[in-house]
Amino acid sequence: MSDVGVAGLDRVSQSGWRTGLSNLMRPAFGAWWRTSQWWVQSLLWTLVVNGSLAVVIWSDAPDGLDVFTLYGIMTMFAAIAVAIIMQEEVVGEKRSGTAAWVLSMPVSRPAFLTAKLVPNAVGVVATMVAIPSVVLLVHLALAGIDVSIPRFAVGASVAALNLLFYLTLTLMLGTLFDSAGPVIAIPLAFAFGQQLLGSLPDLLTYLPWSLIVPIGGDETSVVGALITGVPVPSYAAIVTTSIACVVFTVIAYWEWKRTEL
Amino acid sequence: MDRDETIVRTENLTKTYDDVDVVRNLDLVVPRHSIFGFLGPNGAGKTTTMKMLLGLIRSTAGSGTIFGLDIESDSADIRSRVGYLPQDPKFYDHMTARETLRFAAGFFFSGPKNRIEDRVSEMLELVGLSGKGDRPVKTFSGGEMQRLGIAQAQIHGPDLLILDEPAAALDPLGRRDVLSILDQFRTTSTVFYSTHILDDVQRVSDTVCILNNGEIVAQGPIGTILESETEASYSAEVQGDVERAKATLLAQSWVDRVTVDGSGDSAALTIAVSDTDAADSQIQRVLLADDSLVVREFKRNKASLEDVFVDLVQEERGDV
Repeated sequence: MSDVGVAGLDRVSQSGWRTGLSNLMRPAFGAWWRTSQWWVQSLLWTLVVNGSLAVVIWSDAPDGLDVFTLYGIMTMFAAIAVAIIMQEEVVGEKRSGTAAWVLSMPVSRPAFLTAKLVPNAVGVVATMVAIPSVVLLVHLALAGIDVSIPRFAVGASVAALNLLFYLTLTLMLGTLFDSAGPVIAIPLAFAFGQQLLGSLPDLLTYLPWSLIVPIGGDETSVVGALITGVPVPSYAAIVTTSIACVVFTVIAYWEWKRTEL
Repeated sequence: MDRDETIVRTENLTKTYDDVDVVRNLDLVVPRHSIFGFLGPNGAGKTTTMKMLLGLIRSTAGSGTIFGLDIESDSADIRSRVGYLPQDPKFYDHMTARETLRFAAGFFFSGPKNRIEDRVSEMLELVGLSGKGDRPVKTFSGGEMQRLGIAQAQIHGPDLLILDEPAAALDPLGRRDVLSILDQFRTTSTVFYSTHILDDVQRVSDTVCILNNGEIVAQGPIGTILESETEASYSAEVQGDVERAKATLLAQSWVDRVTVDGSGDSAALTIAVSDTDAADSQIQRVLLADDSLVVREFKRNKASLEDVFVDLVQEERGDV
């Protein structure tokens, strides 16, 4: 590098796939935690989850199974928010030209995508699942409803897995398409289209829907069962959803590496 | 040219989209510390070439090096020494100009906060945006974005600046400022820039490449291109026996052609010559040997880059 005007400064030494990563991570985490985003999302999802569950929690005969089945269902709405938040992350930057600008500097393509994936995943899980869930635990304690915290943590993690499915799906679609339409439409169509498969419970068993919604006459969802300790209808959806998250992420990185800007 | 003195070199660099060669067999040679003008009509392949050099798009065939490093396998190392201004610069709307420069700086260097701020201020000053550093870039005009683009491209003192139409969105004063900034870079960096404004190229560039339909039609020092691509000619405004003067000139072995514009005993002659040395020493004597002829005006014609550009591009299109 030329010495002109940069005396007293050290050259950044990141290399390989991490090139440019730390400089990208700072503003990406900042967009969640140094703006109103974190508390607006936290407040919204705390109110959505706790507000709707209050009806059951404060009923005459609160039933834990009903509470945690409803808890799982309410996190489904956060999936919509995830798709909306993520839709412009890659496509928007491709269209506006900021992706080309950033990648004209010493930044690796995996670093660019990692800075979209990790801060958003952390932000989504923290504000849409973790914080509302902690408030829910307090809420339950106040109502005198016992809950096993380790089991609750496992159930909340599965609810978070459902959100990560939509997050990685939207990220992948952002790398595959050049307009926001399909990037938002496909996740939303998938999220709500699954219920149309109600007549095919064997298939639904493998889809993320069954993580949070009871299917085929089951008493509760996977999330509800994990928290309450009743037998889990099927672990298949946990496996397939986890695999799908990995596959979506791999496709996103592969496609992004060959995308021309 | 010594390879060490060459900053950018491509060999048969080609980019094809849907069986159409957007850039074809490009052999570019950009000398160190040159201000290299990359010219061509719209769609000639200039932006595509720049993006291939930066690794933003992949070449279909051929190869290229910058600082001796391969443009595909060593792209990140190359980009750490290059500053780039896109044709239509876009930055994050929510950031201010100062934050944008700080963000760009973070990819290249780290160090004391105050030193980084000094560098940011220095760049804002360089491009005339000192008073606007704390404004969000979404409020910037096209010209201000262009200036900010130049500032971010230069933030790390790169060895090579790749500027895609750096003066396109600027008013005449802004253009003058940008040309003066480019001139300042001559001693420290190499500037590879594309433009449509041929007057600007003639003012600041020392070397040019003219691209048409994805192929190089001329490349080299401006003086050499002007000499090699244009016919040497002289103009004379004469009064007297014009036809006899024309015949006398055509009798000289170094005169190719004489065209006469005008009628009666007064006309403007354009004399195309094959040997400028002979013409320089003899042409006026030949004209003045005829006592009855009055030479009112005489000059050697100088071709402009615009003439050369238009000729070359039209020649390629088959217009001439």
